[in-house]
Amino acid sequence: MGRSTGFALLKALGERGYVTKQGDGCYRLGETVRNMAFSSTEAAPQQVSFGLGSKQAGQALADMELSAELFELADPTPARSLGPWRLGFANASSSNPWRKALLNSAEHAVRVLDRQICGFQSRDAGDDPLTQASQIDAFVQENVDAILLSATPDPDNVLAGSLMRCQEQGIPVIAVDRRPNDRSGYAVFVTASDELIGKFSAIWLAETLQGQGRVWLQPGLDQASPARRRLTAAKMVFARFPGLNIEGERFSGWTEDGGFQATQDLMLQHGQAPDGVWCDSGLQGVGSIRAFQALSERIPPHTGGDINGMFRTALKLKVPFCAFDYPAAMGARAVEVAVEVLKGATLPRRVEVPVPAILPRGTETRSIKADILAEHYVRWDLPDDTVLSQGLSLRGRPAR
Amino acid sequence: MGQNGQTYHKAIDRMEALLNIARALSADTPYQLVKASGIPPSTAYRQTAAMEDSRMLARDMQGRFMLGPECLALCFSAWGFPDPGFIMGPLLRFARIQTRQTAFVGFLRQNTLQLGPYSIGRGKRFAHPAAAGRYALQTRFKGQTAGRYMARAADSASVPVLLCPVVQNNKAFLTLGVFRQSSPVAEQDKITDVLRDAAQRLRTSVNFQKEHEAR
Repeated sequence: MGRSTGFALLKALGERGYVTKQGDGCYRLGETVRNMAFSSTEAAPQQVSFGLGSKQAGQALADMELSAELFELADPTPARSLGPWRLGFANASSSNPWRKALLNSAEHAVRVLDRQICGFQSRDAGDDPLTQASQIDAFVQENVDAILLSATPDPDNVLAGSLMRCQEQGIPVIAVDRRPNDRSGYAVFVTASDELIGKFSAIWLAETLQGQGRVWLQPGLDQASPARRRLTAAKMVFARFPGLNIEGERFSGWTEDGGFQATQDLMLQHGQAPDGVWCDSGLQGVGSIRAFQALSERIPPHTGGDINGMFRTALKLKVPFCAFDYPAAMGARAVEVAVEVLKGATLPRRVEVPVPAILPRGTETRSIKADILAEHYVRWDLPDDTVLSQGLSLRGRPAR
Repeated sequence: MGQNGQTYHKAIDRMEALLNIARALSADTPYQLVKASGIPPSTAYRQTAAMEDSRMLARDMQGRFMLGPECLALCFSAWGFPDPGFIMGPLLRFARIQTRQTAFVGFLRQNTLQLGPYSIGRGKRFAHPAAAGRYALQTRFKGQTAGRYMARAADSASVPVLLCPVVQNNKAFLTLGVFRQSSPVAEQDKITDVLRDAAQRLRTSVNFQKEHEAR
């Protein structure tokens, strides 16, 4: 910048209060900059009326656990050249719509950050840790600048050796959605809170039923840790309501067919529809609703969102439900975090992507309020298996 | 260059127009942002891209434009505090969900409270901050771990706030607070505890950041 331009700019900034001149000829940031951060960090709430269970005092406290990792800083990584950088994505699998949406989201962020990222390659391990380990090794050999890792289930700790090689080469690993067993194997973990999803959906169901009635539980995949964490959190909430009877529990495999089958089995076993069905995701929730519909039964309140089909079906059939979508947009956030790490920024060990509460009009309870109305969130123009929580990548490119 | 630096003032006007729309989270798409700003489209698109690139603007998960991390970092720096960065969002959300009230980070100089980032409460019991986000406390700030105050903005009636100091420098206190709407007595202690907990965590992370910067 030329001298005269610089002085003129400084003068204009001073006149607007962005900088103030000190006595010693130095400038410092001024009043306007001090007031600049006054802004909402989240969209303003939509005004919705109280609905089911609003008169119930509600014994459940919305105790949200904050992970200690949120406040733990990642080991600083020295900046790796000035960029642009090449990223590799070792993806556990792309076997279901959510995982495809995660990849879409990451690819979208790469397109947005095209000045900083010059290459992005994704490899699908098909949920096999050996394949994933070899894919990570391949990324190391190709000398990528950072690796995004959504780890496969790894009971034998197969990934540890490959992650060690990343460390030796100074390649930062950003875990997303699923982290490796060894905490030292990654720099930052980008995720959302499974405890929050389990706990808040259970609070909503308990308050909707005014603490009384029969409830069926349909968690996701038996071996998957997110499903276990959500189930444990939900059970802790239900335990606070002595009037609630947990009548049955079936893992559903996070599929529509699994949810359909689980509901049919439980109906056979108990003979009558429950008062509420807790699902940790709409992936199976939509199957459960369709099973009640097929049996011509009254459809009880459900929980679970994630896929468009759940929102479309529940709204069409006027089923009370609440959704806490596990955000596929964490793919984009992981790419942003990778760029920050490569720039040498200080980051927390855990970066949480917000989980919005999505409820249809009139179904808020005392503790659970809508961040977004389901009527506004649903996409009637997109197919049932679209994952709505993938954020900007949804625009113009549905996850199909 | 224009007369009396008009070119620069015009550029600042444009930047402010875009920042003000982002601050209100009222633009879902670049088109909406550009239209609301009143800036000629090609200039506005170019400036939006440049501001996103330099992280003065960012987008939330729904694609709404919001103030970017660089903007917030500048503000904290102007007050002489390290930038809490990624931690601030989860913390404000935590305080908002746990207390069901509007939670905010505030900068307190003498008895003037300037609000920084905030998260608006959900349901019926929440308060929108006053237009400029500036309040005068009606009693002296005592700097205790959590205190209740009445705060008055130029354009609104007094509102009750609960404030927790996080850190202090020679200019101001960095505080974490909530607007307190009427709540059952049983909940009041819980709200205070939540705020103290959140302030403690913010303090820890700000101190970490300070140490890191010093290194």
